[in-house]
Amino acid sequence: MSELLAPLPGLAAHHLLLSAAALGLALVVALPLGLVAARRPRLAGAALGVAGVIQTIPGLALLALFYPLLLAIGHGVPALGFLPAWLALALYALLPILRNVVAGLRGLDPAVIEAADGLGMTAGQRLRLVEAPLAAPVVMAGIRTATVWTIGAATLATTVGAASLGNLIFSGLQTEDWSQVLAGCLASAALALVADGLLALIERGLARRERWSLTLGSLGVMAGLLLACAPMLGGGARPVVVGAKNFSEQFILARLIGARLERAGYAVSYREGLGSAVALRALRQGDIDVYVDYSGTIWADSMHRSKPAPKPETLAGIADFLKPAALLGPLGFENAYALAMTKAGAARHHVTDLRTLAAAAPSLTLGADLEFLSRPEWRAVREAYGLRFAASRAYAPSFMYRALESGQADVISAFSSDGRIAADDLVVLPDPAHALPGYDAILLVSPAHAGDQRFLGAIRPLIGAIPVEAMRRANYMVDRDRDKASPEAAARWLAAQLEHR
Amino acid sequence: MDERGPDIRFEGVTKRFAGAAVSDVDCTIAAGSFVALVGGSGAGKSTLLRMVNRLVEPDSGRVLLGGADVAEGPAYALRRRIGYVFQSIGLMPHMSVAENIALVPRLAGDPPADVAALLEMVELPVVYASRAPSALSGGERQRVGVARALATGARLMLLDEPFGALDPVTRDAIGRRYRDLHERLGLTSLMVTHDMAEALLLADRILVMAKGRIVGDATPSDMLAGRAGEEASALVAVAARQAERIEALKA
Repeated sequence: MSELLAPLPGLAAHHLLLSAAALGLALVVALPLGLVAARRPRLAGAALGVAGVIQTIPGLALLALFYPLLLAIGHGVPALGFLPAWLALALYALLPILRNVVAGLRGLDPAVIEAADGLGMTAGQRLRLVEAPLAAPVVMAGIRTATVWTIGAATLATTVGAASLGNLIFSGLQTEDWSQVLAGCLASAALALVADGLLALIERGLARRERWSLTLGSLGVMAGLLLACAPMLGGGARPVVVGAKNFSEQFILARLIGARLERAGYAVSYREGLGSAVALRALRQGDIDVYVDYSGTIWADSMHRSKPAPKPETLAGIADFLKPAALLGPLGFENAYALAMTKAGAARHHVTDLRTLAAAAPSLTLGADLEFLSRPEWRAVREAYGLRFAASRAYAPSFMYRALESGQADVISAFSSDGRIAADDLVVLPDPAHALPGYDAILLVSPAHAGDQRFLGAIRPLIGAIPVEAMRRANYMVDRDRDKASPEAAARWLAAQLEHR
Repeated sequence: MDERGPDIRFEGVTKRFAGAAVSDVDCTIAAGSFVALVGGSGAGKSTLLRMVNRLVEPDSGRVLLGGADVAEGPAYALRRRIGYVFQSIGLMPHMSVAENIALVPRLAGDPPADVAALLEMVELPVVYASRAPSALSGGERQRVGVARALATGARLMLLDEPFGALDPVTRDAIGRRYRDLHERLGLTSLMVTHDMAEALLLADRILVMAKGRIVGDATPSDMLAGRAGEEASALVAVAARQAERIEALKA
């Protein structure tokens, strides 16, 4: 449990600062816009319309949209991390604030406004002495709504690489570690409730002109923000950032790498749950310093090569492509598409590799995951070996393994490092014609640390050190239905295996 | 500041819009006089009044105060020199009575108003200074409205249906009190009212408006004697008939 809660304060601080910064930006835009719009019905209609449309975009999609948008701007503008999250959340917070500024100003007693003009107030005096104080409670109510929404939506910032309490939710969801998901949810809900409570005090202070509730609320908000800033002020050196994509193996490897770096004296932070394309870009821009990718992914998706090449050529090509970031080397296992059978089934049908599978295939059923049958890997292997199955069926991954177990399928598409291969005692069929592209796990390092010998020295022992069997077992510890281990625990187990060798 | 309020001159003042338009009004209101503007709804009374402090800008013509065109200089500076009292009062709900009264000198950066003296002028107890407007009755609020208008030392008062929303007893008391202040402070007062009886009892001179024009202009005694034209006589007749009926009830 303490292991679970260790990252919580840091993530909560990031979460709070991100939300506060987004609300700050939304206020800077919405207050003057609302002020102007309150006197111009057509502008008000347009502004509220646009803000309303933005509100209908799901939060996750809004965050995702900022990635290509910022990429298109280019010029060193970071497309990942704080910036897209900040902008998207600020847009999201716009509507409730804008709406309440307009409503607050329009709801003012016309007699009061006539008096303000008739007494000889300038426009500025009228705003400062009359409109602002009288509309403040309504505006504050809008700010409260925006705050609760923003703190909730900030959990999604994890997906574009900004640290938030969403880190716990997303990694917990991926590893089916429900206590972690719950911790993330509860913490973010608590944050929203406390913020709402403090702002409610301020709203009450403004509405009833009670100085004590105004003071108490403002002090609470300031204290919260200071507390969230504290880790940054005391920090000193920037921690190195270990990245991870969004599945168990990546979480485990990130912790394995992080533990080694910590032992070498580095302060380590993690960015987990990154999208595949997002991770590589983040590394090249220095948003993350180290992570594990797969050779075939970079070869096909980033370098746009259509045909697989022999492993040495692939690795050399990738190393060249990545400069000034560095490819430190392969870890020793692959996480590739492969075809697998039960040991008993393979023996019964005399299948030893893909070549012998071709002979048996016409009497066998292929079970595949949802996308395998439409992927180039399937086309390549089918053509290379002339595979013709009696039938093929698509399953969700966990059902695919059950179909194999129950005999509904004889052969399945699998990931070669999947823990269930070891657990279900399956054989992965060798590919003598090298039709399937290699998906060697490779350790990548950001440009800033590509020549940093202390850094490289800390993680170099991982090169070639992780056999696929060990990786499968570690993955299974996290993926299995019962008695799950955390990625940290699996990483510790894996590290111990490496030291025993 | 002059001893007496300034005179007001309307020169060919015209304002066209749907509703209460004003057409080509020429008229002079003498310094220190108390003039009532009467007429039916939509006659243009309020529009004419509001052109004096530029809450409405005329389409053509001009308004002179003590010989100076009101259109010169910023509107807010003009308004700080004119007291403005209107039916819905418009006290600032987030300010105390004292803050409301002291508002205009504060806006102008002038020395603070003597709130106690002003409260006394409108016959309100000094302890009201710290109260919120919402704690006051309608009549008390309008007294604060008058005190606020007097706080700058303005000698020209524009009153737009000032006592229209008050009950008759309060209305009578506050009207008479205002008339005393008018005398004592040497004010020029221009008051819009739809109540002919009020105009007859308070004003030195009554202007009757219909369809944006001045159609009657007389002292109250001339008006009662029927020497002020048709519209005026019709309005006076209503007040007179009411008085007769009340007399008849007594008998």
